[in-house]
Amino acid sequence: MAEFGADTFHRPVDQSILSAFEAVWDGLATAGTWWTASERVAIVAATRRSLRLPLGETAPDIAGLSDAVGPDGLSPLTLEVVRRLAVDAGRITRDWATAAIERMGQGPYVETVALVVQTVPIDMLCDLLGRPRQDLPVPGRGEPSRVVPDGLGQEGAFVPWAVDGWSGPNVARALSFVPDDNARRMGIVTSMYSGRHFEEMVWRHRALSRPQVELVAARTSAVNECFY
Amino acid sequence: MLLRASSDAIDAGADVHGAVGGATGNVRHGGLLMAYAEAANRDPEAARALDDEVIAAVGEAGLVDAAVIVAVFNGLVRSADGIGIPLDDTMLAATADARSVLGLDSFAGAANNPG
Repeated sequence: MAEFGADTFHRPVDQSILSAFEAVWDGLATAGTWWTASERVAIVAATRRSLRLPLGETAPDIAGLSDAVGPDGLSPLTLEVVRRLAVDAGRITRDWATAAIERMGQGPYVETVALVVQTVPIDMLCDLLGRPRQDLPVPGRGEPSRVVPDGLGQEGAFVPWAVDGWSGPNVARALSFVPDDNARRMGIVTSMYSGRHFEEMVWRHRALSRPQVELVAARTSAVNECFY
Repeated sequence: MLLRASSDAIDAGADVHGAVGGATGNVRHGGLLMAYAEAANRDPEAARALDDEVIAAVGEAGLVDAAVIVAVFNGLVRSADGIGIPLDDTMLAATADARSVLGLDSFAGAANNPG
């Protein structure tokens, strides 16, 4: 079903972007590698509800959060990880991530990151272009596969990622622990950012020049206090 | 960050200080695009107050482009911070001066990188 049809936006959005959005929404509604479809949709709902802590309030200690699931299938531990990723990612440290991964497990942690980073850009573009956010899909049935891909290794990130035969930027393999979600995420990145033109310094395939695009990108990274 | 490299390729004379809210150099409509990016990141719905001005400068497709870039980089920064992605070796070497000048080495994610 075409949920992100071009006619649902009142400004022109490239079809490749809309197709990538469709793929993400379809993926939300199916069991992932570590979370069920219901849990995946609940994580996206929690992402949308996430708020920054009031000034002066200290973030809860990961070690003290319950991992008992609530009515939406998510625990206070998972909800705090979602919140940090959604609205306070610039303050994530290795110690915090290590503690979260030890308690959640590598797979559930990476898949949580994957769900946040696939859906934040979609919601944000809708907000910026004055389109209502898409209703969340009805989750399907099925169990997570819980398969760890071959060829992963530890190379400096918080979690293992693709190392065997890898050549490319680190950002492209960031979520290779969950390959299906990583592929959908890269569909978003490729369609919205560089297309097939990443290596070219002069762009003619979009309305803004590459320096204009990179200025907007750089300001966005800095506002979010992102080093990478 | 490919602002400097892409600017050099067309002799545009970008100023990397635009990344941290400073001068943007000779990037066409750089000041307006930076203001849009900042507003869009802090309050996406309020940023729409700038739509007409951005369209007058770069056209409707340019506005959509700017919105698309803000949106996709909000995913990318969360990927980087959530996974602790270290800078690629070539980028680590190529950006040393700019990171120092712009104060980026003080961001929490800098600790994920050697040296």
